[in-house]
Amino acid sequence: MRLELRSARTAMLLTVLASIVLSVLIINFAKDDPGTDTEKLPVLSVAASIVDEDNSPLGQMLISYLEDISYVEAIYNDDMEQALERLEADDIVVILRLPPGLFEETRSGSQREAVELWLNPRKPAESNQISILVQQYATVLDYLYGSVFGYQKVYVELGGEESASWEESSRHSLNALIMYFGRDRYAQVGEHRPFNVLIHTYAGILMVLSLLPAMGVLAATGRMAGTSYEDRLILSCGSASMMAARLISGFIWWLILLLPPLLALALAGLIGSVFSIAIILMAAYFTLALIMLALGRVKAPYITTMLTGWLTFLIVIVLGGVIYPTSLFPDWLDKSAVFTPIYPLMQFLYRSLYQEGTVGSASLINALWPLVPAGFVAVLFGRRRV
Amino acid sequence: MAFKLYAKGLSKSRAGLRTLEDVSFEQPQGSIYGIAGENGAGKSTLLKILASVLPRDSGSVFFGHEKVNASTEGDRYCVSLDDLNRWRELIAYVPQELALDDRLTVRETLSFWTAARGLSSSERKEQIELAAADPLISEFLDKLIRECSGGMARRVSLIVGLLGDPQLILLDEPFAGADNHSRQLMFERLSQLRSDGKTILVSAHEGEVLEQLSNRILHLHEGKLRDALPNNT
Repeated sequence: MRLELRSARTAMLLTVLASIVLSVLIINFAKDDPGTDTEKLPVLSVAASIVDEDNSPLGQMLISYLEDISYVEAIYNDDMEQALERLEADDIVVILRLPPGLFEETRSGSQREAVELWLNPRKPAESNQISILVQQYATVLDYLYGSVFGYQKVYVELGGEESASWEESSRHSLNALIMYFGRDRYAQVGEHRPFNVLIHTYAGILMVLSLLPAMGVLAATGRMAGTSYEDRLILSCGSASMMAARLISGFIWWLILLLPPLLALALAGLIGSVFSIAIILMAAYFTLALIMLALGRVKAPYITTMLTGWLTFLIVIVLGGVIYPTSLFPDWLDKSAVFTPIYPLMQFLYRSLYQEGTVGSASLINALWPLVPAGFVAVLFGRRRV
Repeated sequence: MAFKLYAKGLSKSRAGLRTLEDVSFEQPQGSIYGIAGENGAGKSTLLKILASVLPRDSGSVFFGHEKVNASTEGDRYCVSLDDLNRWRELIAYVPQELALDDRLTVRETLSFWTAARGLSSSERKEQIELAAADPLISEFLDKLIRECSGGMARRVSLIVGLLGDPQLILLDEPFAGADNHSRQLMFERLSQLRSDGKTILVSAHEGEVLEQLSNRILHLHEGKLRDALPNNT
């Protein structure tokens, strides 16, 4: 180990320097980034224009309702021409046009002109989200509208005076609708974190740095598998000690690669506690290293073993969401990625960095599950059988 | 009390080929047995099985008291190959390849292999001092392995194998690539070990080497033990 460190000292020094510089740069950028508040934000962030050609209380109610929704960034009350200009300039994602007579027609229950929705074609992700939201609202609205309209009729029959009864019942109905919906009911706040490129990049770099020493474990195992040198080592110290020695050697590399950026994070005060981040990165190393211990024992030429190892590494980091967030994958692949070993660790790491290290210990323990199957794989297939 | 190495019905197949077939022999303590045979005869396979680094298909091996038999296997006078931990404490194995890290000096090599055996610091120091004083390597302790000649490296490999005072010594082609001087030194060392009561099995291509060194030669042919000829030496 000492010899290996000695022979690689120049590359090692450069790596450590590079990781310190990178950490400092990213920390500085991240400090300037206003988007790193700790509140759990929804995925969607929308600016919209309301074109209220109805000029009824309905338009005002709608605007004030939308303004209070957390994922609505800005609401403009425009005419159609202004709204289209904003859409062209990409200031907004959607125009909501309320046609003339909407309120009256809604009150009377007669045939109404459609509410128009103009979506920004240059923002397909947001537009798609909005259309899903609108469809969800529309479905519920149709159902409720039918119910409320029936309720109005009963109210009129009971109340006697027709127009006063309509007015009163419509007001109650709209309030009931708005109460029912709730402000954020359809805002997606699911598994995926709000995406911050900078933090994701940094998390990805930390993850790759922590996984790299596992490839050293593979190289050592593959190079030595079945050789006389390994025979001698097995006779001297046994198979388990040899596996442990490889893991420890890799861990020393892990310390060399990861301590500088972790210390930089801690000293910069950007992260409340680096403990959980260090644990998760350590778990990532040990998970892959245990898998590599088993892979290194495959009876194949050394070069084939190494190529297979790097291919495994690539698959693991892509499916683990280290390079891209898995939400960009097709749905089936996104769902499958959850079961890959690095995914939960990467999710935890990203969330920790995003929330400045304030993720709870229960989540930390939950994220460590890949160590268990990886340990089994190493015990079953990583030991040399004599 | 005299001990013996017992090997009974050892067989091994590899990739559908029978590399060792029903090999049985007994070797008394304090003797050197040679294993002779052509390439692929099964010499290395036999030694690797005895060294517990290659699993056997069938057969049993134990080292113990003369009266030992299958029923007493496992008592305190007998160590079976199946009892890996005790067996490995008993044996030394010097493989055909050098199996040394050529970036280390001879002294560092000794230090590494004593550490690998998990000895305490004082035991390590004692072992290293003993090994370093051995005439086989004492002259070039600070030389890097990669700078050693073939014969020197063979001598280092033998000394590494002998660390820890083993009772049963298994040597696979220990003289390959060694010059006459190195060979002579190794001969003397092995004879001394025999006198000290060690049991030594050594394979070699060179028949005259085995004749000179061994009490008996086991001839392997296509995995079968043809005969076991006594030697006068």
